[in-house]
Amino acid sequence: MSLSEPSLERVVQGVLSALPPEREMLPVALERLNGALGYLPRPAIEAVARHFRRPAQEVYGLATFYALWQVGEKAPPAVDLCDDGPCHAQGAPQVRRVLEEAGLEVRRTSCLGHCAAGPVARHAGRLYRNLSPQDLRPLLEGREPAPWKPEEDILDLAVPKERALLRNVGRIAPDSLAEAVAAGAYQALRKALTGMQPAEVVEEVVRSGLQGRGGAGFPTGLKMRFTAAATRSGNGPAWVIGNADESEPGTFKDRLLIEGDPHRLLEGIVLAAYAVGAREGCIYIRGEYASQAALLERAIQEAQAAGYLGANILGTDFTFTLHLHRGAGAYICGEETALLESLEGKRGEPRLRPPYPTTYGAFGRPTLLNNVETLCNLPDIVAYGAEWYRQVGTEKSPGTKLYPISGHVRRRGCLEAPLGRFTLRQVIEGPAGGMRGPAPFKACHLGGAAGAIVGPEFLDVPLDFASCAEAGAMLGAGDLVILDAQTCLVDYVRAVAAFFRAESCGKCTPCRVGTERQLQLLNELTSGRGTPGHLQELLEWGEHMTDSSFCGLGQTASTAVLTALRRFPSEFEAHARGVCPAGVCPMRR
Amino acid sequence: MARTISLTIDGKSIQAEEGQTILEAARAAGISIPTLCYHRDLTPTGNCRICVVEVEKQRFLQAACVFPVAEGMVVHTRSERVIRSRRRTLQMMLANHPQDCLLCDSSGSCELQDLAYEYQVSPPAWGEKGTRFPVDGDPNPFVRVDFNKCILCRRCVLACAEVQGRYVWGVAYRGFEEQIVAGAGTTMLEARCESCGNCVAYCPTGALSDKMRHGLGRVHQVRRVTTTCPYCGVGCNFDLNVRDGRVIGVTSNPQAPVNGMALCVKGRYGYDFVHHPDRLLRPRVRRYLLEGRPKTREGAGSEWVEVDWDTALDVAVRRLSEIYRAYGPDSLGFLSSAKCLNEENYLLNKLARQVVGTNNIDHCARLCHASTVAGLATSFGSGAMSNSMDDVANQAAAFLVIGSNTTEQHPVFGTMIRRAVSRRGARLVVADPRRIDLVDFAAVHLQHRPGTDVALLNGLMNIILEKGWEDRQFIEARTEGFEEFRAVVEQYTPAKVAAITGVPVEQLYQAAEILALHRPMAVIWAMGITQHTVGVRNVMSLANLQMLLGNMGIPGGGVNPLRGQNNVQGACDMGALPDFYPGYQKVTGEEARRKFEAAWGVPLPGKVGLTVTEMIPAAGEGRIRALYILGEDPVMSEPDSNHTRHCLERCDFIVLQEIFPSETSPYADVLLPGVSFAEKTGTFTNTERRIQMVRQAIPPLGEAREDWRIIAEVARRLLAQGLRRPEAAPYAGWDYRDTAQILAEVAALTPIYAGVSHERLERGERLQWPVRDASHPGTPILHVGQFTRGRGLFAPIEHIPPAELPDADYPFILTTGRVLYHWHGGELTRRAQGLLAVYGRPLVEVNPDDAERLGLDGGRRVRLTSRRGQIEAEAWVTERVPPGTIFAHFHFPEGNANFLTIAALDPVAKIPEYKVCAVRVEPA
Repeated sequence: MSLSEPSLERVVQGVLSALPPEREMLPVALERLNGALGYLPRPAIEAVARHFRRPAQEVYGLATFYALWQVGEKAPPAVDLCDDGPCHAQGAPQVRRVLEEAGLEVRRTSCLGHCAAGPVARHAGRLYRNLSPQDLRPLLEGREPAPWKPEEDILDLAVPKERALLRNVGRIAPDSLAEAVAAGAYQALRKALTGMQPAEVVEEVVRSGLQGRGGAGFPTGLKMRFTAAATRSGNGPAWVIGNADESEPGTFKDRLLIEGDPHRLLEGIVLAAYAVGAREGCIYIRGEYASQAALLERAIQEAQAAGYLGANILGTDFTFTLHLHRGAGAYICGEETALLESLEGKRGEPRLRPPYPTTYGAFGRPTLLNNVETLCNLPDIVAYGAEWYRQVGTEKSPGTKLYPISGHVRRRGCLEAPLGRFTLRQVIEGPAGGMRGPAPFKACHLGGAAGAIVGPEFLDVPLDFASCAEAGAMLGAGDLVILDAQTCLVDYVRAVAAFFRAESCGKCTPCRVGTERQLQLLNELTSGRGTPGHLQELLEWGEHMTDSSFCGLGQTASTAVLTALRRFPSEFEAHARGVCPAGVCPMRR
Repeated sequence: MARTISLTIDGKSIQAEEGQTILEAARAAGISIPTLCYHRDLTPTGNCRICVVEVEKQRFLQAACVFPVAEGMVVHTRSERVIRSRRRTLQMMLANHPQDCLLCDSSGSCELQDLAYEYQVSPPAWGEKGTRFPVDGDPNPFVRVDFNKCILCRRCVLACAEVQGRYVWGVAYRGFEEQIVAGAGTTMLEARCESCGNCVAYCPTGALSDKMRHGLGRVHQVRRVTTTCPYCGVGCNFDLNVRDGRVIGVTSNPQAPVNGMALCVKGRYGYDFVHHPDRLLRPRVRRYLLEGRPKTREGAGSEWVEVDWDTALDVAVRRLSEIYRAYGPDSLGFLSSAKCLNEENYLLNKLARQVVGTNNIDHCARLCHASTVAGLATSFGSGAMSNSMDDVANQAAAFLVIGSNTTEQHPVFGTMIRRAVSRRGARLVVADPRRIDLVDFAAVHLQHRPGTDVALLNGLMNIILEKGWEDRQFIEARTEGFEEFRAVVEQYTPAKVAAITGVPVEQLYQAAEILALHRPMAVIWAMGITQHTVGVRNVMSLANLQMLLGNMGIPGGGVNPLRGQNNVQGACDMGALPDFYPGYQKVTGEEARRKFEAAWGVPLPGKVGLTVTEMIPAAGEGRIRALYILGEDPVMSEPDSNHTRHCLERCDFIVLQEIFPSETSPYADVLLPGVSFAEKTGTFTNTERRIQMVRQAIPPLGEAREDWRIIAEVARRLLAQGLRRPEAAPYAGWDYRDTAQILAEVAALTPIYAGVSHERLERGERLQWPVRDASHPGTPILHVGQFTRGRGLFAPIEHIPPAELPDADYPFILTTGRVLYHWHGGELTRRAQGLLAVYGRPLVEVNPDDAERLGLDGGRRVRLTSRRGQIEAEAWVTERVPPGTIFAHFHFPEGNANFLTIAALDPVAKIPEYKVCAVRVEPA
């Protein structure tokens, strides 16, 4: 297809004429063109390059980086079926078989953020949840699936109602600023803007002990201090970024906050901006969260119209502009420096650190980058104070935490509980309603795809950052994929490996080649062609990726494999002999 | 000053500067750490992970190339853990790399191969070896692409972006699918590749290699000879790769003073003319000369006969002496060569002046920068580029590039300007009637009408004065003539200038502001300024501008005319000019003449000789009876070719010393085969006055001889004829052992070269003239503190329109120039296979509006007609030219723009107005 075809040219010119030629608008152009054309033909990419005065290779490199954009030719219609850990454990392979038998083309996709309702698939622009091999009629017949409500994915609020981050989810209309305000939104903002110096806000957060909820658990108050200091030392006004690139398989907590109570997030961001001296910021939301982005867009507009955002917020001289940036399908963009690159209209490859984002972040500015859940904690901390906040949780890990739970339990969904309040056993036996069937607990994949596989020895560890780390695993984003004894762990970590193989950015050698080789080895092991040498290789490449990769993705891409291999060696050794003890892998038993 | 930091590497305490990486600190301390994606010229990325080291207190291994040193840091570069990691990374690379070192051109120069050897890693059985991408997968005639061998280090991407500034290569897809792509997944040339091959130079493996030398020889099989490029005046150095007496390739030499690793397509890939079958390998004379018959142009007697040297030299010397005896010394004219060595130009100057006794010597500088030399000599007292290329590239806060298509004509310097803009934010104003490539990097493009430079510059200076941006202190302290100058400039109001030049008033203001408020500002020009009947006035206007802004004699500023040919600066320096002895010592000056008379042992004429542009017509009129032409092709390069041919036809006798039969050779009577730059040793002087070694890489081909030997032999034989009888004098003789001895003679007689010698250059000294004596370090910047003439002279300059402007019969302006892939009259580049593959026929640039009006569709051939001639060529319909303007070049005999150009000369410099004449355009 050439640009001279009038329809294509018209679409391209129509899209481009509406966009100023600034680099950070490049992804918007590609997003809109991909939407309008269904793919990105080469002439369209070249036209975008001309419009933005960027080299064609750069735009092509950008377009081919993100999974949601189709470059070159139109893809044949297909079902995009999630096969990451939770969906895999909950039956995605069986669903795939039925769909393929029905003559549908099925493609693997990375996590869509509905893990408790998995297996999940996307087809013809629609999202199908709770797929069951026994009943796939809505999908097969192309029917509109039933809409979901965020509260369906809430398991339990094991905290006093007034403390719960999720307290408004399902109780107020998410698209109504009025209902949010009636429920208390923006009171903390008013308190801060009219009665607190920015530094007081920072110190209140420091005292609260709030730790980042994106996975690393870094003290949020310190990050704020660093950012504010860099702003003062002349690196220009800071940026504040809400990281809504929730792409970790097993994690869907941020989605619930956005879908159910978007103004809590906005208020948290404005508070953070005030604290660190930012005038501009954005929410980076993953491309898969399209309806959630629309909801946020609307919330931003309403908040702006009501004076909670934009110029002279609440009549003060504080001005803060909030943008919304949509990702386009890349797990790596949850990594903070990759997110910054992506935000600036580049391939989402991680940056060298130092400098850290707090001194040199978005567009070279000091940048405070926090997870959605982290930011949603700020209004309560400001409104009720650090002392109040510290009343729940542990000394080292105060506050409540969202625990997304999936896998082989009776009840799946997001649990909110004080940090450290529950052990893994208590979660399973309590809110999760026990294991799904007679098969007992076997393992838990803790903290996302990048997390460890833990076994029964972990059942009594309290689920907070420090206790988990002490027991040898990271709490991460707090998500738990609970696996019963019918699970083949080799098969399970093969699905995890497939995820990393798909999501490695390719920048560094160990991760680019290691994720590929790791998957090859597990494919061999799960198809009966395994040898003990394969196990040795898994250990070696895993160790190499961990020790020598450029960023956290590569450093953790083999965590699940290595931890499973170390804790369940006999299961792997059996596969190396051509035996799948769980009877899951297609090989002789 | 950066803070000093103490750290420990491999148990050794070392000092480093804050901000250094571990790699830098280690290398400075003599500790080697292997690298692949790292290259000192490029931004480090930390991608490949070969350079990982163990840093105590860091949980994971860290890439030494990017990890900053810190006080008290303890680093281990060779621990077991580190070695294990490097071996594993190598295994990962080799797993997906073809195992064809046996056949790979890069074997021996491959960094991956070296590391595999050093770490004793063999490829694992798994992986995809040579099956993922097509081998030789891009049609580019110079670069062989085999991405099966790519380790995704991205050095090519960075080299293209950061060294060349072209952004052809990119990274596409992700994870294991990641690959290097050109443009939007197209071919290199479609992605605007300039074929510089710098990506090849930086590629650590065989993924990118030189297509032309595929299978011809690997690094250990070649001898590498460092020498200076024979193309433009930038003066890049590189290594000729020689195997079995053949030049099989060119490789970058990182020590090259001007260019480092960078080269352009002509320098890197335009070498194969050296061995082209057209090379003249034996002397030739016309049969009539052997038979002692009268000259005949056609039929029996006019045929070429190959003869031995003795015969050819005898014939040539006999005829030259006859003409000398019959018509006197001034009936002989000498055209020297800007392609030849300094030593050879000196000898031809000596031949003309000492042996023959005439000042009729000139060369093609007349056609390119005569107006620069004359204009700057008037304004400042000396006529060369005042600053150095690296100086302006690294220091200038702003550039005015006027009448220089730098990225095509001085490509490596062009990339330095691109880098200055894109990497350190220098501001660029381009003034050019065409939308040249450099405009992409410009803050403002002043697209003035051809031939309106004086008005444009006066307009800018008018605004500078209006705003009070002039440097009053500089004007006061170092110049004269300011008031007269001001009186003229004040008449050039922005509105008036807009009307003359076609440049909108607001653009004039924008440009003036950039140029005046960013200092230092460097002015760069080439033939767009000089090749006008007002060439000298243009140059003096630029001198005015730089004095007005106080940009003279300082780093990052200056007047920077870019000399066209490899040694056009040197040919001027060596006295291949009708009015100067070597070193710009005037032939009309009593003292200088006495000096050279004493040195050469003969009386010398005190009268200025004829220029090229005068000698050719004089030949037509019978005032010049014999021409001795060294390495020039006036039929291609003079204006108004038909007239040139007519004149040469009427010349009694022409000796042509050349390496190829040229368009001029049909008019010659004797052809003496000289040699290419690869076959001789001597010096070239580049545009920034830098004297550099040219080194013999192969012996002369066939019976061809080094040009300096030929000239000396002609001189000896002419003297033996008894034309003139030099007295015993220190430099009267012609027995030269080598070119070092010739340059020593130059140094003895030429104050600006007094301290220059082959010996110093071979020691690696970097010398830019003036070099006052053997211990003088040379002069990177001229006019520091004081101008050569004392005070700089402001000149009041009025705009005068070009000699020939469009009218009803000839409604288009024709402007001429050159293109990236070709060189001068094309004598060399039309004999370089790859260059022809990319640009194999003349193209005439026509604006799309004009093309539509003229009905140029389909075949798109056009006929251009001027009052002097006609050509036909293919039209390139492009926005590069504005409506009403046509661009053509003189690289191909067919479609040579010089059939159309006008021989209207600048009254002072005698340079022709190549840049403007009137033509008619029709579909052919």
